[in-house]
Amino acid sequence: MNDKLEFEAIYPHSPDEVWRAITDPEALSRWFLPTDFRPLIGLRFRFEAPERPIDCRVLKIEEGRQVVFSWRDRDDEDPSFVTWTLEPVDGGTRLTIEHQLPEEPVVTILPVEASMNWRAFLRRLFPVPTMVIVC
Amino acid sequence: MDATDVFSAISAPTRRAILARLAEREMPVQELAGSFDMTLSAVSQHLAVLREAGLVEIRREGKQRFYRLNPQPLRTVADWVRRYEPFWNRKLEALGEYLEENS
Repeated sequence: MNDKLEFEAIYPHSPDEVWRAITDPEALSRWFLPTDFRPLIGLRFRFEAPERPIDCRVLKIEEGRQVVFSWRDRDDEDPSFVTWTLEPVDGGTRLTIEHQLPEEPVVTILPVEASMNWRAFLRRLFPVPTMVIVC
Repeated sequence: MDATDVFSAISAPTRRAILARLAEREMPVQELAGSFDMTLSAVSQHLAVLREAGLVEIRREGKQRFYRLNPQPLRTVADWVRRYEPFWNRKLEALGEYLEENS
């Protein structure tokens, strides 16, 4: 089922550098949100978002490649799931972020192009003037 | 409404096209099939998925059945996208800046 948001970006840095940036609590606290994250499966941790803390739990760590964690902010009844995946590419590293709706985690791939299509479709039905797509 | 079903229902381009068509006005299945150059049974199958997700409703008038759009469940998905899409895009950008400054 295609029930997730998917984003990606390519950085001109090695997978090791990007891996450090997405798993080191100090690095995360600088570019993402202040956190007590550590790459330990089962660990409960928090991201201190400005409006409210986000309660998370590490679900999967694949050293150098993938981090999966649950994600619940106060407004969400059930946790959603966030997957960060690294992939070496020519001249750098691709980071893919998947944010899956509150449901059982199932492994599916939503091609970026397809996701863009339904987002465009939603926008037509419910126009949001402020929405910007960067990647 | 289960948002997963809604995502799943709108993941098929044909079903999005059907919804877009029904957003203009309600119509019977024959007319829908005609405008997409599809068989009645193919269109009926798509409509069944859309009804399951609560996106399409039926209005009966005599023997005629009109299909119409119910956009309400799409709001669930639209809210989700509206909330998180700008967030993740900003973060991807912030990571790029962080990497730039720290390598």
